[in-house]
Amino acid sequence: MSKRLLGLILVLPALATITLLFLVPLAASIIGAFEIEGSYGLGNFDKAFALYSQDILFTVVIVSLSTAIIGLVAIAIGGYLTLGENTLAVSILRWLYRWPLFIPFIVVGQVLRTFLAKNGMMNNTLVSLGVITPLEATSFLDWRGIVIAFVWKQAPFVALLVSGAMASLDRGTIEAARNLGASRLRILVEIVVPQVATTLIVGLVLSFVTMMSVLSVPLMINAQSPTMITADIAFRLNAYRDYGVANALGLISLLITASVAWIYLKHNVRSQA
Amino acid sequence: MSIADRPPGAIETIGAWLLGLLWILPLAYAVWTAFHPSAYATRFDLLAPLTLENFVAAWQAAPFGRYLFNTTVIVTMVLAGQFLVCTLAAYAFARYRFPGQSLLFALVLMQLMVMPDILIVENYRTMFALGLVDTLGAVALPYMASAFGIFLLRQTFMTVPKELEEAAIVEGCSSLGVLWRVYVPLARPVFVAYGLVSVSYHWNNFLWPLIVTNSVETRPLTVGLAVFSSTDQGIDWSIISAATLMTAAPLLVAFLIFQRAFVQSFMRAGIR
Repeated sequence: MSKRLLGLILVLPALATITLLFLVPLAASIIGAFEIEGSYGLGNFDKAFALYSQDILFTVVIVSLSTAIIGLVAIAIGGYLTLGENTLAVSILRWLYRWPLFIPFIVVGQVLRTFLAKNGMMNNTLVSLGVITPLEATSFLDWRGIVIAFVWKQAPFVALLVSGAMASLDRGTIEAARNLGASRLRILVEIVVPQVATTLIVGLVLSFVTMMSVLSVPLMINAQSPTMITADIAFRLNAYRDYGVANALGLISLLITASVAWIYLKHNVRSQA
Repeated sequence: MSIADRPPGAIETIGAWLLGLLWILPLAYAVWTAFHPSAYATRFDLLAPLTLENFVAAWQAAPFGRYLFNTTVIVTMVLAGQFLVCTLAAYAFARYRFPGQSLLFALVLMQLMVMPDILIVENYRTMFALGLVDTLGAVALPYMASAFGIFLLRQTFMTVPKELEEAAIVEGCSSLGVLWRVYVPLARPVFVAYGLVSVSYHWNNFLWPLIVTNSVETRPLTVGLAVFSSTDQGIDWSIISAATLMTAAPLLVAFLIFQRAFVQSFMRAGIR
């Protein structure tokens, strides 16, 4: 058998799956987003924006805010693991920070729903400690709950990537800066972070895309309006069987993630140039 | 002297413990609620009695054993499928030249940027047309040709020295024999890392199984938990927490056992 033919045969199972379950549905959902009762137009997008423009904005703001906080937390964790001098504190942090990695989003949503509620564990503990009065207790089950859930779940993932990259850096420059009297914060910001920027950005882009497609967290923590695009898609499908608007919302979501991926690619091309 | 320059000591250790405990607080809270009577679900009392009744109640109220079995079957099917399909494709992309190769590889890369969740509506229609709705296969099928897996394995296979392959051919290995005896063993750390990422992703997957399954026989743990906590239990947080822990426990225990291997493989594979 010729090598060319063998190569094609080896790729065939992957190709069939990609065609059937990626290319065809992608094309169909793009077409479906423009289809209105047999004809084509922008009606589904008009409807999506009329009904859900607030939710689209809410999604972008929430996910961007979460991404920014995840970046800061990941740098802080990675930085402490790399530059921390107290070996006991470093090993405690190393042991604890990875836990949320293996907890499903739905479990995170479930746990935080009962933890952050007005009469949940957090407020009851604060009341019993005398930090707040029962009247001052407020529910965090809104945008704050979603951000907390996202940061808690995704920060360990980015921290894992970033701390790996930090660990493989040349210790020479760090030690030199330390000998010259630079503080750890300064070493982190001026020497370590610039060198792991690519890894950090990759982790953040992957987290952004992941968070854009999470349904369980907004559904459990903040089902009321405004909510996230995924909850709207599920609602259009389950309540109305409205494939057109659901596809339009999916395409809008795809364009948002694609623009973030584009930023990454641009950064990558620039750093390789 | 700035704070950062002070010699490390007790304050740093206490700070690390406090931050660490704050970090696992939600999880610790779920454990607390699950192991105490519901009267203590939102009240912290060190002397509160311990109980396993919430687990018994949750186990009896919903078929968690069946859900666990379903999740295990789905995760195994996805992993076996991905290893087979991705390994063959990655090998072809790394070592063969065939018509349309660049175009096909570009398609694979394109898939990397699109979350499968976006395609849910159309994938559901496909599964419906194939008569696969509400089967375990339907949950697994869309993830078989993972672009990430193909890309990762192709990059690894390309680093394998050609001389090894040539030596194996001289020894009488066939093309697939070379793949099985040379490439796969050398890429073992990458397979382990990819396998762990894949298992944790599919163990936790929610949206697609939620849409494509609608019976106890096919629901995975995550969907089972959602159904259980939304309808059956009202707001009995203790039982829901027990169910929540049962859902996450197998993965957490596996994580504790394989922690070192996982992190090392993750780093070595250079996932980026």
